[in-house]
Amino acid sequence: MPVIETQKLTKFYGKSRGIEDLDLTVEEGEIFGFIGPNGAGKSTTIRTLLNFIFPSSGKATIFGMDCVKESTRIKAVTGYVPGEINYYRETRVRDLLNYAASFHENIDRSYLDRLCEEFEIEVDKRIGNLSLGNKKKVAIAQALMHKPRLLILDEPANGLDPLIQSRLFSRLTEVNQEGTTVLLSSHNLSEVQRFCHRVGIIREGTIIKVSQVDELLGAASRRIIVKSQDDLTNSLQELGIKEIEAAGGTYVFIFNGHIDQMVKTLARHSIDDLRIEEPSLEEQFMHYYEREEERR
Amino acid sequence: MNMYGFETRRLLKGLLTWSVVVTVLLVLFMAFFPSMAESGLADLTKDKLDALPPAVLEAFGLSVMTDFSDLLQYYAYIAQYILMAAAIYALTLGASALIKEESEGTIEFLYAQPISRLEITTRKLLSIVTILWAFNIVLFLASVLLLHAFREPGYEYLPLTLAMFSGMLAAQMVFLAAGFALSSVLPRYSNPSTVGLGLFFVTYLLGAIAAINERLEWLKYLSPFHYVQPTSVLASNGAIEQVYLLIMFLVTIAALLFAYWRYPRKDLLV
Repeated sequence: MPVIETQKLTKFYGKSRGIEDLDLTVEEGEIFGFIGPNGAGKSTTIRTLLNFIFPSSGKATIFGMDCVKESTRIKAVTGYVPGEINYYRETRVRDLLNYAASFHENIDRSYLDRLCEEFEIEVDKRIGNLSLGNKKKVAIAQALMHKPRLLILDEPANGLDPLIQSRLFSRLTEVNQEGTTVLLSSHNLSEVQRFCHRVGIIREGTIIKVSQVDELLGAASRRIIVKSQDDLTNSLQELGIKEIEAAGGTYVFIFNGHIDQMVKTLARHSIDDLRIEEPSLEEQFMHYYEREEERR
Repeated sequence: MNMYGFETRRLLKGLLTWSVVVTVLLVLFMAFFPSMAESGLADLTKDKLDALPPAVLEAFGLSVMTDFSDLLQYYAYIAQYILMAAAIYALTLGASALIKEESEGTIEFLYAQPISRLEITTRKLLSIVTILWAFNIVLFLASVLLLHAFREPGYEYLPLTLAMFSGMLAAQMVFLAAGFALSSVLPRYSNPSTVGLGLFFVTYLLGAIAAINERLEWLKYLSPFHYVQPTSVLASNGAIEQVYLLIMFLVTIAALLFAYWRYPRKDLLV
């Protein structure tokens, strides 16, 4: 049985679209990456699943329970890390965690303590005095403490320093191996590529593609900036790159072939500077969408 | 589950502020009573007041007010201002109950917990009712202490004070419920204090207009404040008109039912 299932799920805010006819299935035991540009409908989907908002039409279930009618039962087995953390500012972290714990039965205190240690949570501070990253850590402990069977994470790594980020992902991997299903919404393709089993891409309110991560890996593209006295145009075209921005000896382009091939081709010229970057999400998606259209 | 406790604790600071401010006002006003009673100041004010047109007196709730040298009548006059403050507090409490957490975004925390919207509504309602009652108990005790301190030996004040307070509390419950109903529909960026002040003064003005203009007398039904004005309650020997009691009861129930119907269906918009 799928853990999350939506059928033609639609949410309109007045006349503006949130999501439209969204069909999404997340299977038990997987880490499902949910990616798409801003405003594509990731948050709307999550907020509908958690019944913060009500669907305009369509249906959503979690563990077979209706997201509107059985929301309370769903939340007993679901943990949620919001994208933006707005907890009671005047409350101390310890009190907030205790308060959250009071909504659940059988909280394993030692597990909660371990989480606080692992994520270096300062339990005596007031929420209002915490930085974005530190608030996020509280939210993570809050979402994990009752050992939920489903975790819904909205940009969980945002604002965390690299060390805590890696602890978060190893914790996620661990709970996943123990059977927890994870829905991970993210901007960061490489994060999704590393940790997710399957990926759903959402655009303009609809899922346009669900694929195994390995499939998507082929789409890994890089933004390349080369500076050279030579004219690189021919060599670049040889590599199959069509769109090149060139100005004053600097060439900027998106490359998604084998990096080895590119380096060897460029090595024929004298190069002044070479930068290889992660393309912005926008560029990656543009690229991705273009390839999709070409295939058709 | 300790949501009720958590909610109530969050309101304690506001309760403390309101209690202190209103009690201090009460003490200050009452401190003038001995000079009012003794120095003939009352006669003086009375002459001045009699010179004012009756309509103006009505508007200030002074028409039935005759004798400033009588302790309870003096107290009832002051209690009008206490009632105004209490009504505004009740409205603000009600209006903030659901909206404030939405505008601050903290409601997401509750929505992610295994607790239904109906339970959230109930616990929030219980906690604001608790706070409002606590506020009234503080005011009642302060009033009784002050009345006791200023009374002549043998002066009976308790039953009528209790009657005035019951009326005031009933009106506050109407305002609380109305604010609560508003809280369930208002968009998240509304300011509950502005809503509270605005709504109170609109109803109050309607009541005042009703008092000075006979043709608009029916407007009085729109102002719970005027139903239970302490001066009138005192003048009628502690009685409040049945119609008013019925209206207050029905409006309170209707407003709460509305909130219970509406809030569980409300989208939490970003």
